[in-house]
Amino acid sequence: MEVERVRSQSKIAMVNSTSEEIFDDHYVGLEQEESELDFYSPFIPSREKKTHYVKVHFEKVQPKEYKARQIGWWLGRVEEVYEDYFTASLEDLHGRISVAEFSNEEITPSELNLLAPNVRFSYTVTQMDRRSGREYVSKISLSGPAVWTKKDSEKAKESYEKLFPEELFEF
Amino acid sequence: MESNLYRHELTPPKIDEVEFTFFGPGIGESIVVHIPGIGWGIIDSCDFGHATERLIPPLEYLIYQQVESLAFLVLTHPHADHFKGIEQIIERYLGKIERVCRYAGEGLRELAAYMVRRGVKGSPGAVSLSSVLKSLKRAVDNGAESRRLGAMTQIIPRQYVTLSGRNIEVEVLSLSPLAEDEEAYVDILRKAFQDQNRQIIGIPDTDHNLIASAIWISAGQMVALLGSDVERGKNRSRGWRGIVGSIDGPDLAVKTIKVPHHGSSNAYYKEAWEEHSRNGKVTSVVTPYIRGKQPRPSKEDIERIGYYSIHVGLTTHVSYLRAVDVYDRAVAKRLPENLRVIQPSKECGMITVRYDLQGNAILHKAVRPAYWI
Repeated sequence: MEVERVRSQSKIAMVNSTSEEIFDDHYVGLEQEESELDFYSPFIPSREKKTHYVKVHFEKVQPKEYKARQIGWWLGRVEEVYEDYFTASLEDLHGRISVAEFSNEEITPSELNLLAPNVRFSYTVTQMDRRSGREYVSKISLSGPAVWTKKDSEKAKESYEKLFPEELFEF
Repeated sequence: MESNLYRHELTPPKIDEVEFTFFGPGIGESIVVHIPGIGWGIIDSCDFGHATERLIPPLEYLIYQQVESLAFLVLTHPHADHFKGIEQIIERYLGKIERVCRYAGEGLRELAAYMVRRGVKGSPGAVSLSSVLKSLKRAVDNGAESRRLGAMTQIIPRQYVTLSGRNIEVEVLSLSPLAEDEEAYVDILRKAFQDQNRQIIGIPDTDHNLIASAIWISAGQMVALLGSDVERGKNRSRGWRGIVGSIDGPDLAVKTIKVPHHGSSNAYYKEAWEEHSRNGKVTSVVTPYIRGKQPRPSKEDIERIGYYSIHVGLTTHVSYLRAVDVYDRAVAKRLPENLRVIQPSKECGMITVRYDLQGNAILHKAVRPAYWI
């Protein structure tokens, strides 16, 4: 909302201006008393109708060109990989299980090297409302191999000792 | 949630009847066994229901049959689809379980380490495995005898029991895991964590079956084989190939078989089935598995099993829905055309078979959604 307000003010200033090139989203034309000029109250109406151009320090925010809403989400596991497709089992948020075949084309080329049996992935269907209309986008994100760190080793050691004391293997 | 088991009256077996009751709600399996002169036993455990409310069908059945104590409790391999609910069973029969049998070789330590490492990276499993092991230990601490499963482990040592003035020979053995499978399993788990690359590699579910125990039960003339998830085997020393080829092994001609690994082709070994059906076609029970690339058993699996079987029973019924029947049309249109949503049964069924000590079938009962083909 704030962005819209500032932009609309900017448009008014542009109408009143004589040198249009200085006007862009960063400049706002104000008609107000000079002494009251304040960055924190830049839109107070002025009695003297004197126009000043001040630079307003706010980030240049592009309005979102679309609204996205995820309407489907599954956690999948690759079962078998063939030349140009793979089979997978999927589980949705309600615990419903599905089986399906996916074309390899559904995977981003940069992730193709991760495609292997047993690899987990997420599958999403997103609804995107653009100015040009509604679109649906499906996406597969493969998880890479779990990279192990020194911290993980410490955590694992601690968990192992807690969860699996020696006595559990000895009886 | 209510169990449907109570709606199907089943009188307890007579003292000289052998009974097997199979549960397999789509994920997991369990078999409750009655052996004359020995008592009741349970092999594996499964649960059923939703996240908030789960039933343990084999425990319900034991309570329904007013079972006071267990002669044995066997965990054929330490995987979730075989141990869900085992803690509750142990708790219910604490101090009344005669022996607890489970795999306890080197592979178990490696599995625990693997699960913990995976757990650090967010995969579940380590906590439930720990909990099951603690529960089994609790049973042992409360008087149960501990037995480690391996090839030719005596779960119930061969013995004679006297029933109605007759001596009946009874024996329960585990036929696996075989040494070479166990070694291979340990090796796979160790390689799954590559310190040099600092990566953990996921291993296929079927690899975990390398330490599964097939259970052989003999009472009088009645012999049954409960195949767990034992697979065919990569060479003559492994899996069913190793079991069939073993010179120490018992006679594998049986009356009833719990088909190994949900009837999958990985677990099919022709020579084994020829042995099983040597004295006539067998009664086969399959516990379907609804996850995976293709739910098991497939039509081909059933046909293959049917060739050697007089009856084939499935412990649950699985149907499929199209994406459009489940999801919003806009979502369904973006899913792969061949996607099928698995529709498991809303109830847990069971299959019960009973034999007299001459090996004659007395009862074949399927409680829906379990059914005979």
